[in-house]
Amino acid sequence: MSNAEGPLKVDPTTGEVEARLVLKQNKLTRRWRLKYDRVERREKIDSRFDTRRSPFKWRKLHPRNIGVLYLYAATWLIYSLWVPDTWLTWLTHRSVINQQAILIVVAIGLIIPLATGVFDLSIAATMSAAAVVVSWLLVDREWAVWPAIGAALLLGLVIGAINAFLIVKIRIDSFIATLGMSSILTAFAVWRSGNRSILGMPDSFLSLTTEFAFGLRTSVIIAVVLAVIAWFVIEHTPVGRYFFATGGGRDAARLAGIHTDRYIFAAMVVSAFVSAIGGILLASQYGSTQAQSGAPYLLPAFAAVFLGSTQFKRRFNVPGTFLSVLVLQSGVKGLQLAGVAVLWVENLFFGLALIISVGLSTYQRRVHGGQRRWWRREESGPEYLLGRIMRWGTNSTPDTREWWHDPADSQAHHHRPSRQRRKKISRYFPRRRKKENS
Amino acid sequence: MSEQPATTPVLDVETLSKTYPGQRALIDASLQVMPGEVHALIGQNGSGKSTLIKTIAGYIKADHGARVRFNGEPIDLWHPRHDQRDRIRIVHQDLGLVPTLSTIENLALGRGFDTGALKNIRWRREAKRCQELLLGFGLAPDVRSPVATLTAAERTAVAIVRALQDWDDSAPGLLILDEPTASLNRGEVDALFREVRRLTARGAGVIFVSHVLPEVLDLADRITVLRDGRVVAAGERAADHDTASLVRLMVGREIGAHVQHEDKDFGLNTLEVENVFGMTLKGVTFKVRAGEVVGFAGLVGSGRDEIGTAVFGATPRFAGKVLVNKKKVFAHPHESVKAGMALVPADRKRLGLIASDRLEEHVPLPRLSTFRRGPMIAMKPLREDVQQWVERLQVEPPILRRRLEKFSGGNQQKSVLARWLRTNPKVLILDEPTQGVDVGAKTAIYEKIDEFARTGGAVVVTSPDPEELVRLCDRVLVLRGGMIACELSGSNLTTSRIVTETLGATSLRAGTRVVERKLGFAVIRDDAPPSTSNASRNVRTKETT
Repeated sequence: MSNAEGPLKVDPTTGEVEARLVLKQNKLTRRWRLKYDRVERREKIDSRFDTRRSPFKWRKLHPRNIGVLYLYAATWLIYSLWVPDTWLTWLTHRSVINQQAILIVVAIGLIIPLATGVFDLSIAATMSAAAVVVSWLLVDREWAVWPAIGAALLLGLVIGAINAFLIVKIRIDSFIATLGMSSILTAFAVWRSGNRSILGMPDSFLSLTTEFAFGLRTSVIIAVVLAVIAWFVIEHTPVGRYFFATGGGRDAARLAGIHTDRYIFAAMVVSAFVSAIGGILLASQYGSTQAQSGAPYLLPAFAAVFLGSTQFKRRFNVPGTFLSVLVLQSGVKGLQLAGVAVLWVENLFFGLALIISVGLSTYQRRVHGGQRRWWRREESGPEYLLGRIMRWGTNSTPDTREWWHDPADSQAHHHRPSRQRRKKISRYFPRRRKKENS
Repeated sequence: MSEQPATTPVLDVETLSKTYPGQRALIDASLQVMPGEVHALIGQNGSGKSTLIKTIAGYIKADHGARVRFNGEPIDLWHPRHDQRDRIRIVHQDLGLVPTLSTIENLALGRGFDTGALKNIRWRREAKRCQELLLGFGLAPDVRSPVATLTAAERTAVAIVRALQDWDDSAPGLLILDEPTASLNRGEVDALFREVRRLTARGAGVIFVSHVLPEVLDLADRITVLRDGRVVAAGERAADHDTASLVRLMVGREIGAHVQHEDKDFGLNTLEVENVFGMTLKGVTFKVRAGEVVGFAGLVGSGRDEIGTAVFGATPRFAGKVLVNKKKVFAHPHESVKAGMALVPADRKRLGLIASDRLEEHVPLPRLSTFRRGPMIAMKPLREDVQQWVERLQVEPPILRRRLEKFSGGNQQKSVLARWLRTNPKVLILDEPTQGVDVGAKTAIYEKIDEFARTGGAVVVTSPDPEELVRLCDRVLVLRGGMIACELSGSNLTTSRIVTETLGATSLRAGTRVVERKLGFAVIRDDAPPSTSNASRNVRTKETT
């Protein structure tokens, strides 16, 4: 039997042996292997498609690692050409940074429960509730600034504790528990604010988030400080490891001797507390508070955290989130500057960012597991196709995709066999011909 | 049932092999099931019974070269829609019912509902049909309530009824029963056997897989014994055999007689387990001395799969005490780790490790605090320590940043072992330590366990493989029905003794107690006499309410 795939022999005594005629240095040789080797060999080939061995030499700059940075560069390029006179001013970027400070605060609060494997959908409602409480205490009850802030933070802690209680003790799914909590908190905010804008907060409160240098507000400092603390805790302390272990596999982490329930509790409390800080900043920065003022932060926060989780590492991380917020806000700002339908562009942008980032990360996860259909294979991915076109790495990595190719045989791919030899080869590897009409 | 030599077999399988990467589950297996015959298929765990069944069912594709004939005609069992699909019926070990659907809906799966003019389901007619079918087993469960709320016996009956409904007698069919009697009491088993005999009288062939040798001898006409993927006794007449001869065939070569257990001097009692109750455990008491390896054998459901996690506190303990070095350990994994216990769980993928973790994150997770420097983790000593453990356990490749999902099963298991040996435990509990592990890694893991015991650690091993227990253990405790049935050590510790003792319980089925669990309350009752299974049902409900 001799077909395009070469002869196949099965030896019943030694287990199946596959033999094949192979062109090596323009000579036909026979390569054989035990059939059982195939699985092992497959694995070896798969590791070739790891990011480490991808056509990009410098792994840290691989688009899969920091795609957002490339996106940011592209944003800059596009808007510099599109709206150069407004985009290339400090005023624009100052306002982007000032606006994103609150979003960063909320997103960072959100990272911790997500890393622990629980959802917190009540962050936006917690923000609204905290903002309403602090404004109501200041305006209607005429409390002093710091007690009012303290009360709002305490509210955050209580909300977090209730969420955690529902998830850990009652064992409600975190998604449902926080969704319900979110609705309850919205009700509370509407009731307390009387469904009106609370205005007239004292200057001492508003001045908490005034500009301090280069037109940047104090909330930027708070956001940066919180981000640094969160980064430190998540990446460099045992607590962070326990958060991620709980998120990676609750049962496995429990069997490793971790009090998973305590860490879920802590994560929920931290996220609600940080959201409350976000709410206070919101009230202070805008000077007017409505019952729904936190709501627009929910989707961007999730979008930023999930997009951030595809950056730098394949898990939730602070620098990625930080960068994602910057990029998302810049993208929206640029569109607004260009005068594109201001009303709906922001929602569209964040929605797309969330879906695309989560889609990308699950796509990546599927590449290594599951069936290797051609569109799921990593070598069909954009940078590999680009690499194929640009011929990156072709000289250094001969095609080892099929087992009979000898990676050490560097000659194999560089010389086209002579005409005579091609004839001879085609005897053994006949070209597939179209069926003749019969 | 007399054999008719002239008739063609219902199912005739020859030269059937199945190769998995790294091992051959079936080697040239053959099986002939005659019409009107109950053909028993027996063998130890991992002997290839399930593989053979699944291959015949068409779930697993056999290696090239298998010859299968059904009623004398060649058949491609692995074609998605072969002609005889409807003639081969299977009752799986896990029954294959959808627990949230009702009995009616489960019976209609794959068959379809009886519908009226508006394509509306005729619920009343369906319910009546189901009740009639189930009455054949002497059972009258509520056919409209979810299957999950039925008793184990009722569920088994539903699965069997589902396999038997619309049975076509025009040509001999094949029924495969994969351990159907595991959760039945004597009376229900009798009812099942009656149904099976009624079926064979109509000319059907039945393959009966069971661990319960007396039942096999009772029901089967012929017996095929599998061992290590090979058929060691093909279709021998059941009348020629007894329990002892079957065990001899299943076990084959005797291991244990030549494995030397030198008389060791064990230390003090390191682990003391007193009267522990769990979901399946009913008062287990044992002691493990320093340097001793104690094994647990038992069938599925005997408590063998629960003992490790229960002692570690990963699954709830309803009663009893666990002491490590005379100190009581509270039933929570955290407390157990603090007390110096370590558990290598059986379900490695779900409980043993977090697949997306890197090796350097996985190994130091318990007792991460040893690397604390202030509030931080000191990464350099951590990496050095992990590197050292990875090398000591020969995890291949020793790349610390590699994710665990990319390691082979054997290397994953080694890394789990490395993680726990790093904590320097006093007691090491291993649940099926070599499950899904290749031969090379297996020996490496055995050596590490031996080494750990030599340095004065106490080891508890559970395993379905008697050879493994004989190889590893100084003492083997056999669990039956949640209790320790006997203790084997010294010259008694042989594979055949372990197999005989694990099977022993099931031959005493009538005397054992059945535990049923509803709403968290354990209802313990003695088995009802065979004829009054309905009455026993009433007794049970009375007790629960």
